[in-house]
Amino acid sequence: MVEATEFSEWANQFNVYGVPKTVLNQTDDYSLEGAAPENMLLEKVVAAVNAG
Amino acid sequence: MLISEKNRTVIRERFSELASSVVVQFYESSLNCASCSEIKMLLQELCELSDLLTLETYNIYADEAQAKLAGVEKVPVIALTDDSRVDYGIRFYGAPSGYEFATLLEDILMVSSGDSGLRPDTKAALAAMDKAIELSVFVTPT
Repeated sequence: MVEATEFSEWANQFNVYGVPKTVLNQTDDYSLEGAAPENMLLEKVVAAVNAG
Repeated sequence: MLISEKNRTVIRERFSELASSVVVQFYESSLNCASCSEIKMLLQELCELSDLLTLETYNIYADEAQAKLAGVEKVPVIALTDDSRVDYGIRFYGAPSGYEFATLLEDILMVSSGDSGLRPDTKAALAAMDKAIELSVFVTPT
């Protein structure tokens, strides 16, 4: 968890406007906006792993 | 007192479910961290509510070795582990306020139970992963 108002520079790096926003591996390539249901989150994780 | 008497009773009740010890590790700095002392006070009050909770506080400068071990570069941050001191990769950056306080309580219970609550197929998929993935969930105080 990252509190975006305290860590605003970090949040700005990933264009966080709506929360929650889940960012994978510090890039916006596999991010998810809003509440993330388990299967959707897993899909993103698997995609990030397979991307190499 | 940051946690009201009424809330302490409720939290103590929830913590009676704790199955094993949880170690709350708080990383702070005495410079440039306006929220650090309040978060520390909150965590101290929280950990008083169960004998199974221990609070460890580290200063990222004075306790550089520990901070480096945990990969902590930014503060304030809370990490959760247990007596084994295994790094489960759980990090709370910033004050656990509003809804996130409930998340912190749930995470403490989760670490204590040793069960993530994820579905078996999710657990299997994750166990098969050969790469580390970092998840950062950005939230705002509610």
